[in-house]
Amino acid sequence: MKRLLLLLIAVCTLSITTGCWDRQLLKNTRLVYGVSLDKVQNNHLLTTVSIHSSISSRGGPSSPTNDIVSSRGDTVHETRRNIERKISGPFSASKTQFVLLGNELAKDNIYGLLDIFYRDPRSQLGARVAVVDGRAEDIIKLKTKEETLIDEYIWQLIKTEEQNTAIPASTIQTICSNMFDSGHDFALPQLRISPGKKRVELAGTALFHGKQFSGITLSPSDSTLLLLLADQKKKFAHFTKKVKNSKKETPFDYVTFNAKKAKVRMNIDTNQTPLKVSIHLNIKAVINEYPSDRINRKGREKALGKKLTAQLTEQANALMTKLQKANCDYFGIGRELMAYHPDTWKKLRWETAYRNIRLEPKVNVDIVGYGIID
Amino acid sequence: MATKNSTITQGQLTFFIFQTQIGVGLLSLPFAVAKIAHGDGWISTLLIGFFIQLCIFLIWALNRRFPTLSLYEFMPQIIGKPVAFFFTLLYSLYFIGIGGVVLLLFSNIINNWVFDVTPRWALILLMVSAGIYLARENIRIIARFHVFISFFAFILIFLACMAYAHIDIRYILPIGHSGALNIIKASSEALLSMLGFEALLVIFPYVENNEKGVLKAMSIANLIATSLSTFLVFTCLIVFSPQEILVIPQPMLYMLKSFTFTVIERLDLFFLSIWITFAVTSFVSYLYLASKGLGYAFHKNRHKNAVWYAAIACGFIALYPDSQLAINRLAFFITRTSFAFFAAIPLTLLLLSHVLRKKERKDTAS
Repeated sequence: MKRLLLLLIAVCTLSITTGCWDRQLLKNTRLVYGVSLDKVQNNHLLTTVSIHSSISSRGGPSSPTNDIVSSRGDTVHETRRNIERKISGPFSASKTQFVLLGNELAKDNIYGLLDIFYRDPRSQLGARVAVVDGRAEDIIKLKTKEETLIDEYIWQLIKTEEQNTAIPASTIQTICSNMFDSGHDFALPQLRISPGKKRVELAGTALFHGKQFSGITLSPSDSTLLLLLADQKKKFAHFTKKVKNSKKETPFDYVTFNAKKAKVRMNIDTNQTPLKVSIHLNIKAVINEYPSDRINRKGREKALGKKLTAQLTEQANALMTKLQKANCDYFGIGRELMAYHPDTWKKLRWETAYRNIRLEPKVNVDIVGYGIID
Repeated sequence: MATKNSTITQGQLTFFIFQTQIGVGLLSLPFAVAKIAHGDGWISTLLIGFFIQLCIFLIWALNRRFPTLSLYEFMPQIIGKPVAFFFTLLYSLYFIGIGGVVLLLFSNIINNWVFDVTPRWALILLMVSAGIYLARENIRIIARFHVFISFFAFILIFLACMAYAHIDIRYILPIGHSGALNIIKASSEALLSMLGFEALLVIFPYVENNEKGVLKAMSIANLIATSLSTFLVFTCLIVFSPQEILVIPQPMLYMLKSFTFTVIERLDLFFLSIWITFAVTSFVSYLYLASKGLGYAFHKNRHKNAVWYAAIACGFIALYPDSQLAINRLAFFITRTSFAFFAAIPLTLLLLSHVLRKKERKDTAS
């Protein structure tokens, strides 16, 4: 009797552990790798997706291809449903690697667009987000770029540039924390189609305030400096600066260096009105390219370091003006105030106060290496 | 009374209590405390651990007077048979209620996170059958399972440590910004995920050499459970910005979902599969405690006969709520009533036993 009961339980259990309700066969689902969102007439949304599939020729190895589909709708989910009507299997966003937002759309509240990514348990929160100068679908519609599928191409481009400290390494999840934080803003990489040629290139970094794109984009060089000042250096951080003034502008006037180490110290002086925030950045630089001269002499590397110090400080000052114009508190000064100077924070209306604070950057460059020649 | 081969060592007691305390509630704990105490939620978690320690003293002081009897067995000696019978039923109902809430939260989380099409009854049936299978056995076998499962805690801690790549300590500063009142209020929210220590009321007589050392074993269990929850709460509070965490009911899972590795793309699913075993252990413990009471009341102290219907009752409790709101209401109700069962009633019993000088008589032989 007892054994019979146990057997009954075992059979019952087995019959429901097959999980037939939530079975999703990989061979049927259509995996979306890249998504672009645009605003079209009457405030409709236009979603364009790149779907991976592999066509296997008989006997031979299968070669991956991608299928570009786009559809309109009022919400992101509706556009997805409309796309689903045009494809052979269920739409699956679980492999999405990046989301491209059109310029116009990014200037609205982007949380509304990303809501579905946060709400859906199957979505990929590690996906990257980028703004496109122009229409985002144009990039996906390139479809392939010299044997490389467009989604793979963009993914690699973003990953490489992140390592070069040219764009912030922000995923859907990391920007969410900032969108909800009134004392910390974020920035996203901006891509564009290079004029004439059908190629995607990095335009720089799009500065956001709150949940909206401010419309101000930093150049790649400014972006690197911004990331260094915010203590977000990745593997490499290259700068090219003009250090000589010969009559002809040749490569001989310039030096390129890599910031091998970057140390940042932020100081907030709450006694002053307006608030004074000084950011000290100490760069240990390694020269990558310096055709005009040898460095291995006493005094020379110091002199060169001084020139670079002055130039980068100047660039940083201009950068601060741009940040304040965009009202983008990228360094999280508001968060810093909340944490360490809560009394000051309560007195300020950060929304307007940030633009008027005194941001004083100070960059110092020390040359510590110069490659394998003198 | 405990028979020879159904006793547990004090080490096993530690793990039994730890496993009963750590359950499904912990997944929502950071959210629950952050709602009221914001960045100071971790202090609330520490605070509730301290409060529980006081309750452990209380329960220990009560049980110590009756070293070979469980709560159900010594209650008649203090308050008389009819009243004790009523309280035995009440305790069983309470344990069934908590078991039901464990099932409910478990099935709800699995439903929301992994199997959204699978009906809830299927998930509950799975859990109930596993629960029946284990809870029918004697305490020693259950405790061994709990000890074995406890090693998974290291994997959970390891996974949580992954989050330290994306933290901002400033989210919890300045310490104490939400005020003492809110911190205390929030600690009552943390109670649900820390319940389980009251199991001592029932399992005390099964512990070997329980004249001494039980208090130490219990305190260690509570210390581990409190540190683990505080660590997880702290981690979540510095990963999510203060306003963000208020919209994420399961921050632990959400945090892991955002990490991607080449081998495991969805760390939260990995985490969840380990977590299920922690839910099972809590459920089994409560099922055992409930059927112990019912067994004493109706089946001449043979709890096996009661496991069946106790488990089915838990299943029905878990099936009943049909919306997120109803689920929250039920969890709230259970948390509030739990106070009577682990503090108020034991305290009354302790005082009564002192006043009436009721104490188990020592055998002259031993």
